[in-house]
Amino acid sequence: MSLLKSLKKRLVYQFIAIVIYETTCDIKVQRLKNGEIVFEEAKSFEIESKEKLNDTIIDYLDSLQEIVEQTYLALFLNTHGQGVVPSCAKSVYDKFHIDFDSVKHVCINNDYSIYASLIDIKWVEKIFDHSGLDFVFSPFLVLNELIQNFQLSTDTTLYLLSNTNSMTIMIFRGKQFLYGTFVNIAKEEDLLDSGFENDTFSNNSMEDEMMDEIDLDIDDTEDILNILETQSTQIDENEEKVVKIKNKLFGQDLRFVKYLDASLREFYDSDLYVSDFVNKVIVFDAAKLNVDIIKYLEDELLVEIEVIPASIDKVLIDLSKKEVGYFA
Amino acid sequence: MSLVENTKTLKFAIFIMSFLLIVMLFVFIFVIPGIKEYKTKKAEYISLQKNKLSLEEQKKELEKKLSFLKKENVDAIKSFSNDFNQSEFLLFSKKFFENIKLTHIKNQKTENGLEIYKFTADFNAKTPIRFYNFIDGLKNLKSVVKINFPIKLTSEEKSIKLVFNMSVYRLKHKSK
Amino acid sequence: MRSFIKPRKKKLFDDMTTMWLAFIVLVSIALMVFGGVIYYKSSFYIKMIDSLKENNAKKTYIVNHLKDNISLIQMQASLDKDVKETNRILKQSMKNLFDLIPDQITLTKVVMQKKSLLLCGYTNSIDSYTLLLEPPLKSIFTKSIVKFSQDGKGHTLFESFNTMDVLKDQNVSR
Repeated sequence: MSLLKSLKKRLVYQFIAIVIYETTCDIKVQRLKNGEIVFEEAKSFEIESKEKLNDTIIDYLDSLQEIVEQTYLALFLNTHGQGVVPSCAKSVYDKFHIDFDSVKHVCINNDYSIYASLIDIKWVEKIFDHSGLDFVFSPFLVLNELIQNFQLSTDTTLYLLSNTNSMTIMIFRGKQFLYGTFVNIAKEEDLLDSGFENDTFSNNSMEDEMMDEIDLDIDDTEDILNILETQSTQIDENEEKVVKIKNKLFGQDLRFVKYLDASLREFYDSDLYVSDFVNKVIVFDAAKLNVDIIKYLEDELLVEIEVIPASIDKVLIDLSKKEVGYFA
Repeated sequence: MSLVENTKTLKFAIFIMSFLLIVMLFVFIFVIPGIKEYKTKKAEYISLQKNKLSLEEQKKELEKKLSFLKKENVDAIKSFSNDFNQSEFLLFSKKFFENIKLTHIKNQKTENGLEIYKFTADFNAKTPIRFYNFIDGLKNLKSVVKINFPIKLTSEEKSIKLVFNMSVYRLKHKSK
Repeated sequence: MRSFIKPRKKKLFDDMTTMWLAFIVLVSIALMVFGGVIYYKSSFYIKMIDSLKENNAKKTYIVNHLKDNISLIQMQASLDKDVKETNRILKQSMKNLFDLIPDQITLTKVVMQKKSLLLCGYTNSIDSYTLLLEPPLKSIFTKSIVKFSQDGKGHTLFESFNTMDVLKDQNVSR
């Protein structure tokens, strides 16, 4: 087999990672020959809609594929209908009210499985009808890949992959998977279901209405503390610790926080998930997060937050290479 | 993209060259020697066939000729194959002569396997006519006898003494 | 496989390369097959050639043998004929010779050779020799030498030695 491998290496391989955002599309190309990178390029294209690639993108991809026969296009799947379940068994899917037959699932380490709706997958394939698509990777797979480099501590850790328009969360206790969710943070829709109370955050002025500002004072902080922490006994102590924070979080940043809150609530409240207190948060930042968010969250959640810069397209390319069996 | 076009043109050129090369190679290695060999072998075969036919014809003709000759010369062949019986000869000579003396000189052998026995004959005859008859009679002998020169005739009291040399021919051969 | 979709099948070679390779391989195979067919046909001839050569060698041997036998027989036939003819000629010459001798002459010794003749004898008078015997001798032989002598009884002894260069064809007198 090593002969085959060495022969494979002599061929030219091209890996293309595609991530589609709300108004842009990022494409990264890596071309390898004899195990060495001979060409690398990252481009960002403006798109009119998430449903259709415009001609420049199509031409670009076509031209790349014309040069190299062995080209693999990998897409970061950021559709709504996908998630992760803490088991590979069909029965568990039923427990989580997910129609097993209408999703495609991938079992990881016999521990948990990630799924995506077949309709979404077909939809995404249709977008790439002309150029063709080789791999569609779940954001959970990407996050999992990033986590692999980590010493999984026995603490219950929340891993977060932060993207320009999405957030991927996975909570692990050591090597055991507990909970995971994926949300598109460019929209408010998901929040409506979470039962998150907008009252907690008061909008003081008309202008603020537009901006959706948060003026946080002690009361709010307390409420947030109530929501975020299960142990009420510590509230009094913390009350004193908490300093009046005047933070202004805008638009997406605010949504970021809201979604994170909602996810944690779901994790703690739901019977479906094994409950445990999150000690640590590791954020893989692919979108240059606002430092304020981190500071805020650290204070509010009373957890250690570590931010690590990450690049989704690099991970997509690594995943593609693994799928193909290309070991550089 | 001109890069792609260039690569394609280059590839195309390489393919055409290698194609021509391979075709030429194969033609020279397989086809041409093969055809040559075929032609030579076929020609050889045809000439051998011709040889075979002509040989067979020859054989037939020669066989015919041989059997014809055998038939025609059955007597001569027989004479040559007979051993020279000296006593028979003396008996025969007695019909014509008296005082017959036959001395064997030597034997000779030729390449064809012909054996020649040389004798000296010493006879006495009343008249030369006896000698004539003797010579005539030689034809009917079982062996091939030739009278050689010199012939000496000497007159004696009541007869003529004849001394002459004689060659007897004999052929021992195995014929098919 | 951890992707939600299977990757597309990749061709090892692009279309042009595949076509050309296939074409080249096909043509090579065709040429090899052609070469093979030709060799096969040649091998047919080769087999035949070997057997033919063997056959022809045998036949040649037989033919030569026949030729030898034939020449042998021919030799015997001609030798036999020769011998008979020689004997006959010899007899004829002798006969002719003795016919030549007139009554007046008596021979005492005759030595016949191929190209010479020695006659010894006696006669009453020399004339008998010179008139009766000498002319015919002279006509047959190219050279004729004669010696005369007398013996006690009154006979003339003669010794005639005759030679000839070319043997005249005496078969005619048959």
